[in-house]
Amino acid sequence: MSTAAGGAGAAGGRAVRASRGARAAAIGFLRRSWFVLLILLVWWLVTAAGWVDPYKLPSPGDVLGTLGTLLTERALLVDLGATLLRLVEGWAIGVVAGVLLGILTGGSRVLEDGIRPVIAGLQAVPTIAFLPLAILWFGFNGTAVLAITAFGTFKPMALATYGAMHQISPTLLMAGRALGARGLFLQRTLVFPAIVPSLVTGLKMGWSFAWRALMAAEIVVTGAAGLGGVLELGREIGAIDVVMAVILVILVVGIATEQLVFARLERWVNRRWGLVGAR
Amino acid sequence: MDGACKTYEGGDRPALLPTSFTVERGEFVSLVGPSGCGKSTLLGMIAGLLRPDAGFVEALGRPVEGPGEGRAMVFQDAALFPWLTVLGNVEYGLRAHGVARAERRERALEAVRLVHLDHVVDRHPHELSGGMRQRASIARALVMRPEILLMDEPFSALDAQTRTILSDELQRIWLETRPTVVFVTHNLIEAAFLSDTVHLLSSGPGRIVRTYDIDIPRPRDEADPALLDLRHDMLERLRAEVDDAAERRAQVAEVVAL
Amino acid sequence: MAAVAVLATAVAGCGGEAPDAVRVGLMPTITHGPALIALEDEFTPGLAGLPVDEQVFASGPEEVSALLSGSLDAAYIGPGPYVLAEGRAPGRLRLLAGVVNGGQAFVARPGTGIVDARDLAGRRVAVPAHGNTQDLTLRLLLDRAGLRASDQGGDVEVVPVKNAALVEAFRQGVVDAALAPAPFGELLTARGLAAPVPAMDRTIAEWEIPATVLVATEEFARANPAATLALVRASARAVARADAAPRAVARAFNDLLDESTGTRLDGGVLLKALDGTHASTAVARGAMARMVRAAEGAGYAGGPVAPAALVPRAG
Repeated sequence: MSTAAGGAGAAGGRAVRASRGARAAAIGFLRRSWFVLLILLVWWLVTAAGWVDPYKLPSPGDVLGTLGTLLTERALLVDLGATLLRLVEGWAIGVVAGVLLGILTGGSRVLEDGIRPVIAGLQAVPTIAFLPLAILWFGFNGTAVLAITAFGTFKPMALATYGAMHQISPTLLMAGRALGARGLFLQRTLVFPAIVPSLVTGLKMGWSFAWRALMAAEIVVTGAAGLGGVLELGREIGAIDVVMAVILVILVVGIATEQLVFARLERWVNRRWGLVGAR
Repeated sequence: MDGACKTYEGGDRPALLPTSFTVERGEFVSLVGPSGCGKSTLLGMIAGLLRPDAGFVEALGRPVEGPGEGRAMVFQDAALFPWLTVLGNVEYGLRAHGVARAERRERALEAVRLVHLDHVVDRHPHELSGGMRQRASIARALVMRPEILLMDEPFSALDAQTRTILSDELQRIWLETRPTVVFVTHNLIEAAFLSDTVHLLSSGPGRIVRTYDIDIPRPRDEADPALLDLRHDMLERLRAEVDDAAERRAQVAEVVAL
Repeated sequence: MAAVAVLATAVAGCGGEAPDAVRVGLMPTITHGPALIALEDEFTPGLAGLPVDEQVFASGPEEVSALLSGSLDAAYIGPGPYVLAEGRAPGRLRLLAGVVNGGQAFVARPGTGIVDARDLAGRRVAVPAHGNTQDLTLRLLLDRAGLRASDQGGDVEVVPVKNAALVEAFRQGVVDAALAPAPFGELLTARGLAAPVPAMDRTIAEWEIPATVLVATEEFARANPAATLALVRASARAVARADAAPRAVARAFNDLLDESTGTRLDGGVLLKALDGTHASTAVARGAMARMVRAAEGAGYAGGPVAPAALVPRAG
């Protein structure tokens, strides 16, 4: 009798612990998603109450339905895949080019003073303004889109690299030089790793610039699969539900890359570089 | 051996008035003085990291034109590379000089053992205490087998206890390896404890005001009354200097005002 | 919940007060020629006491957005965007009158051997945009030849290419043919990048497909019947003048182009393009019904279009 009661008590304790864990998880989920849920609620209320015309703001259900149709009938996943591939390629090219330029010219006052203002000036020009040029150089095809995406990433990455290089501790540089490091060896083994933490922030910025440039370019250079083309289709036929469905997809991809890639990368770098404020 | 290890005849940068001194091979020399007396500038020029505006620096019989050439440096805040492990940090200089991997590893482990860090070789700098970081920094310099070891206030950021322990360690290491050491500090007892010669620098525009030769036999004890007397004497001298400097500055201000 | 109410007002709010101008939209294309003449002369005295506020748009969908959001009262627009708007937001717009029929040319890259719609199997054909008049017309042509666009499961790839990129697309051989709005087909031909395909142009001409129609918001037309009628009459006078004097249209077009972009097009090309247009206030009912069918077939239509919406109604 007593042993049975003891067993029940232990089981009860486990249940309490389990429910506590579930509660903590639920609170964690709410803490991160309350804003999304609020938007969805307001959106649903506004459309369900009939306060707005459906052609101006389709209901969440309609948009999800359209998303389903796009996925099954227009092969939206193919468009998404094509866009993501271009995005990653263009971004990677832009990152490598921007960081290389920043590191190789950031060490010299003469080079940096000449090059940096030009890039900063170009940063004010929307990347898409170069699309006609890219089409002439690379053709009316995916290569031009890729070039625009890479260029859109390159500018902020080069500027971020310059900025990061100015924040390298002078003592660290002196320590490296005192140990005999110089030239390319110094750039590769000291300057580059020293700016990695700042570059992670730059990578995120480059990613969002890559998205913008890519979408703008895909809207013009059509004929291949891509989210930009679907976005433009929705605009052209006045189907706001298609536009919102694509925005939803881009938003989800954006949140996913932030959470799954950049946040992890940032945590890893912060841990490895021993930076305070790492969460 | 070549008598004159290095000579410096300074230019007239505001931080440092023309200054000359010589360090014998195998000697432990300290440069002591208040903040802003140009100690670190002086060390940077010997290391070849800074260039004198005028005059010249000579090391091991050759003029100093850049870093390296048998000189290694230890910095105030350790200045370890945060992305490398202790071993990676210690190996860095060897990598820069193109030493083969196996030899690199062997020499680095030897240096790490010398500073008693062999149990943390795979840790990153931020996982170490301040004292351990500074030991790693010393190992990173020693692994280069420097003929001249330059130390820029290496213990100033440490608590008193760690500082005492590391001073003892440095004495032991110096007795084992016998490099020439130029040690910059503002801690008088530390300087007296470690050095064969102490150069006292003035504040304001820096210059050497007094030189002490210390012939107390090693290994020494920090509580040695002879050291404490020496410290007292140096302190008096420095106080007078600080007052003089204040007076000089006041005079300059007056001239400028006119 | 206050935020919800504010949001609802902001989205739904379309003013109902008396207007202080008639806001008329148009695009800087040659098929809007009569609109350009009307803006220059016929609208100057005002419409039933209201001045005309002209607004230039880059594309039909933008005009539709402006109309539906209440920032435009009337617009010269292609029948494609109008039909799609009727499907998505039934009864919001009103077809007032025809303006120009024709105004599109089918051209093919030399050497492709395209002489008829049947030759388009496996080819890439450019149109300016999804759901615009050329896109819908092309789908009708394909349908008649027993072909389908690739997004309808067929093997003819319909590629949306902006007018500004069309020349480069032809130069690089990205597309084999195009159904282009005037004067871009003529421009490609003049540059030797493409040749006309007369059989197709004949079919399109038979269908009497409008290039430009005049529409107004139902709200404006109801609230301002006098101004609406004045608009239709002024537009009709401009149409008559354009039909009689194509050179005036070419000049007005070049003036607008010069004003907005600083460039002028070759007068010869423009006049050739105007040859293929026919200014008329009549709207062929069959042509509009064809547009609706094509939109439905392509999956563009948001909903059914009432037959009454396809007939011009001034009062």
